[in-house]
Amino acid sequence: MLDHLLLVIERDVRMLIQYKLFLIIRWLWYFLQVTIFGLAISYLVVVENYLFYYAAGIYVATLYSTAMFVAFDISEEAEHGFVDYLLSLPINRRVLIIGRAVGGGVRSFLATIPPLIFTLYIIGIRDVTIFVEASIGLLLLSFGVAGLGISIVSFLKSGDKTDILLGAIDAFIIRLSTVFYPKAFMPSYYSAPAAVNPLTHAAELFRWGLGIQSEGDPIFSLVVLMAFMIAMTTTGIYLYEKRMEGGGWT
Amino acid sequence: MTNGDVAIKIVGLTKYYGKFLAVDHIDLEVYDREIFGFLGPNGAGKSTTLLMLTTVLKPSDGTAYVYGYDIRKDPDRVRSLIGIAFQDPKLFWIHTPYEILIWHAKVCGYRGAEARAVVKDVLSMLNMWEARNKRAFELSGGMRKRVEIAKVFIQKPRVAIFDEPTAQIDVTGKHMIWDMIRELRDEGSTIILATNELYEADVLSDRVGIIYRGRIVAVGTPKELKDTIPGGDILEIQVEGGLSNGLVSRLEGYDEVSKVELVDSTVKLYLNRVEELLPKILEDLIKHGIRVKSVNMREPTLDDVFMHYTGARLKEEG
Repeated sequence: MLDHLLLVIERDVRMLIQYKLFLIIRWLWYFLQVTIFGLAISYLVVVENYLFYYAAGIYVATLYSTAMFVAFDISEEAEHGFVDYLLSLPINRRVLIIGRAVGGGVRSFLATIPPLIFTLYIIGIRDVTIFVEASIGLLLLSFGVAGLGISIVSFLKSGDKTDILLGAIDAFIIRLSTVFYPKAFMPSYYSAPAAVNPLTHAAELFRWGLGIQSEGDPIFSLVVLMAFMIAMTTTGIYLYEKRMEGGGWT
Repeated sequence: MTNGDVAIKIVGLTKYYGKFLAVDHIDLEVYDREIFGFLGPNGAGKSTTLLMLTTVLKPSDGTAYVYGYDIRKDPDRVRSLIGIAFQDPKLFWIHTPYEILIWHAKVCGYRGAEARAVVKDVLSMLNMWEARNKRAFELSGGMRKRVEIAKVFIQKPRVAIFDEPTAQIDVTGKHMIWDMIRELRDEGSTIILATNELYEADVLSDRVGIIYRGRIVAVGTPKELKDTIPGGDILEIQVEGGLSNGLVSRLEGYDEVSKVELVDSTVKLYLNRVEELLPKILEDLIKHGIRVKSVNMREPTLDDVFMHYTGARLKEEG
């Protein structure tokens, strides 16, 4: 069973590595966001060391969108009928789905190493132990987002609908979080959803790990991210089993 | 060859897609180590039945047992015994045949060097070794099909399912794949061969099941099925000087003979089991002083069998 889990994870990791152009564009996008947009805004806002704040936040947003890419993979696989092949293999279904969620998370973490290194280069690390603890939170976010992607694509069973919904979620989940701006600067109707947004907790935990200004309790953020990961993976398993196995794809 | 034990028992298996009944309460037994031809036109329910057997689709009603394991209750066990080569190759466009098959081999329990060796063997046998590093989207239809069926030859499952295995494959390739399927059966696998190619079903199958509009309409060996058509065999005997009415009546008197036609000096008999009856008929004619100039006989094809049971031609339906 562990062998199969590792094989599913390995397959998903290798898949993303093969999208070299996608990765290079992501890294360039991150680099330009921080060096041009982040730097320019840091001169306009009153938040102290906003460039650092922004660089850490935008790294979490990059991690989120890379983790979500597993949903596009599954959608494309389904359109090519490839899901039938995966479902016919001598792999336990739960192992298959957990493997995909973990694989989606691991690969997004690996694929964002260059932006992470760049972030560490401009911000630095004050305490390695704290940074490692914060990184666990980022990994939990990746697994949870991959689980969310699997849940969405399994529920919708449509490549087009998945594209549209993921675009909409992407717009809201990033903006209604502390990725770009602290809660103190948000109107209440922004800060309330931001408080329960896993991206907020990941961003704050990461900033705490880097030793820059952060809001909230890191332990609580870690618990929220753990709960998010468990909830999304469980939902993903349930929906994948119920919906994908039921056949049909639009 | 089969030992008569039941490998797969299908009981009332049914599948609805919305209101459309794709598979209609199928009952069927497939024996251990036989090649079972599943013959039917496109859309008859073959692939849906196979997807249910492999636990990819859930049945709407009924079930099936694969070596005693229920596809509904023990899907993991069933999948550990079964392997399928799909009708449409399931290759992710960006991967190469080598990557696809190495991963598949590992999922099927091969490790490291063992996986590389078995993949090399099977790709070589299928004349695909040279093309192993091309991406799936660069392969021709026939090459993709070869990669798809390679998965089953690597897996060597207890139950090997081939859905239209030689579609898009050239004649030489077809014979090679048929030999490989026979070899797999001889090594101990039970084979289900879904096809709408009559010749393939005829030469390869120990038994054939005909499926039409979601229902199994006939099951038997190709010969048994052909013999079920009254007067399915045709025997044409050209004689010198024609036949008397008495001799025609005598020929009509054989139980196996359904109809006799006399056109000039040629007598045409519609009958069953022509190979058993021919010596008797010839002996009869010679005894009555008739000189036989030529004999021509034709057995019914599986298409005739299909026509007999469904009223449709398989080729037209396909």
